[in-house]
Amino acid sequence: MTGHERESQLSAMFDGELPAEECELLARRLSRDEQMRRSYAHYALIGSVIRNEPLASGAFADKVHGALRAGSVTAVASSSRTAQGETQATEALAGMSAEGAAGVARARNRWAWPLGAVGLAASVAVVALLSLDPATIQSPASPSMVADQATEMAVVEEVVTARESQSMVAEVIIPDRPTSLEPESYVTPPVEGLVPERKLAPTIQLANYVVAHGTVSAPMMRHSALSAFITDQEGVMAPGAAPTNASRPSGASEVAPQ
Amino acid sequence: MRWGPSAGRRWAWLLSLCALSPAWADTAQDWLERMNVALAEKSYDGTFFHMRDGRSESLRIVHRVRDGDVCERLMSLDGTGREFIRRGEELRYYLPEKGLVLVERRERETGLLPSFPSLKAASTELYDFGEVRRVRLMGRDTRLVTVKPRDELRYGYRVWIDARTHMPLKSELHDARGTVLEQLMFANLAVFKEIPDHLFEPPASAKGLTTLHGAGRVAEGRTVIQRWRVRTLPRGFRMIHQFEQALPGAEEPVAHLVFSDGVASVSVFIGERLPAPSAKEIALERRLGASTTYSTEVAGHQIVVVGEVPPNTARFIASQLQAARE
Repeated sequence: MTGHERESQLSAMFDGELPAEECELLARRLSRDEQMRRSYAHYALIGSVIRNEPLASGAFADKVHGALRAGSVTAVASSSRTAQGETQATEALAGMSAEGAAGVARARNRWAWPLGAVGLAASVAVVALLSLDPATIQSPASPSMVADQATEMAVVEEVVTARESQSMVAEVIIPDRPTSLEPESYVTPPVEGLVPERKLAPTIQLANYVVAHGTVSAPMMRHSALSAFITDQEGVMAPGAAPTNASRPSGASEVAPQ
Repeated sequence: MRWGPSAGRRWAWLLSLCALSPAWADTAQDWLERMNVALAEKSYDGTFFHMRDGRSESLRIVHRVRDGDVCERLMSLDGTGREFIRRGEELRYYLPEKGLVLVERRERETGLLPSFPSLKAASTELYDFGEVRRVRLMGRDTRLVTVKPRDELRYGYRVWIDARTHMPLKSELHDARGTVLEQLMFANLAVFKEIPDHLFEPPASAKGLTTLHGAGRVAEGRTVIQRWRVRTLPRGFRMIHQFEQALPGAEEPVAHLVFSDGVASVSVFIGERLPAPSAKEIALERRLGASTTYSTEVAGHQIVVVGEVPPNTARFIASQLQAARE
């Protein structure tokens, strides 16, 4: 089976369109195939985050639950520590831990969203996400990113205290996950050593200039620039072309200086 | 012509027809203006994904407006743990991986909307503001607004704006060829009547960091600015602000010139004369989401350009700076 076929099958599982017997086979493969688990983790993460629900869909959940209960989990449990961590993160995100299963079922009943409509919208969003750049999904960094995001989505629930004052909420636009379904806490791995050490001065200057520019740009642009800088991993300007190479743009016009 | 009851009915019918016609519906600019107002004036808390260069990272934004005072916090939930906190006139930028906090003071903004350019001024000769489409996204009724650039000097946008709250649930930045360069998408978002103060307190990681202070804006149009002029600007751009400001950690204030085409804005920072001008030209360029940063040296001064424009536009503006006699 090619990678593409596996992805298609995985996608079909999430959509609840894969026959039960194929689903079981795929679940077994999932327990053995690390690459596949990464893909699964991504689908689960993106799906659950976008839909703000712990399970991708009822049909899928039932099939996977059935397959995993049948014994496929044993292989996962006996695998390496890293794979175990990934699986735990995945389970936490997808709400598939044993303890969480009952809560998930209760929450699904409480969750008043029309799953069909949401699923359709979310599918489009997932497709948009996945089609943005396959490297995002398939890159070697992806598993750790998934683990990080799993961690952070868990941690964010602890940090979010504005939501404590629910009476102050004017409108929930995109609802958060039900608080009763909070996954176990995970510890974010330290970032020291992951970010290459660069010169200090350009980082400071760049921050200064981006922040200063943010005060004169439109809110959406400002959020974009600040978000980009905050998530920037290099924090330093990279060499580029010299200004002498800057040709006059086709649309340039003479403007009297003010 | 007589104005009888039947004529009145005809006019009423015609007016109601016009009201139903798409030509009379809200324009893309209307929706974008509403979105900017919502982003600036509402109190909200949300987590969103920022996707660019094949990477996806999650961030949390908390924004509060109380009695005209704006507090905002933007934090990375992945990676370095950098944060940006704005409380009234103070801006703090936490760089834990560098052991630094940059602090800058701004003049208290009297209005809720800062001095960014009005979209009403954006020319349809520069951008194609497409028809507003009604789209359902993440269970919400949204309006999809498309802004296409008419040349390669600027970027285009697609924004899904929530019909009730006018908050952007998703946005895409694309170049003139339609290639998506960046996406922002909320995973959860809530508007609050009130957000407690402690959400804007310094993060625990701020302990032990070195703090660098800046004085903020100095004055309008003083000496450094008067020594510079821009020969030519890219089509549609004009200067909308000029002032001097002191940046955190910098000894001398810099001149800050702001140019805009009505949608995008570009800042040009001109530093004091460098102690030893380099023999050869050095240029540094970087794209940060919708923004390009470009640094070079002109007549012995450090020039930094930051703006929501393609690198070529930033480079061109820098190349058009001219120092008058000092």
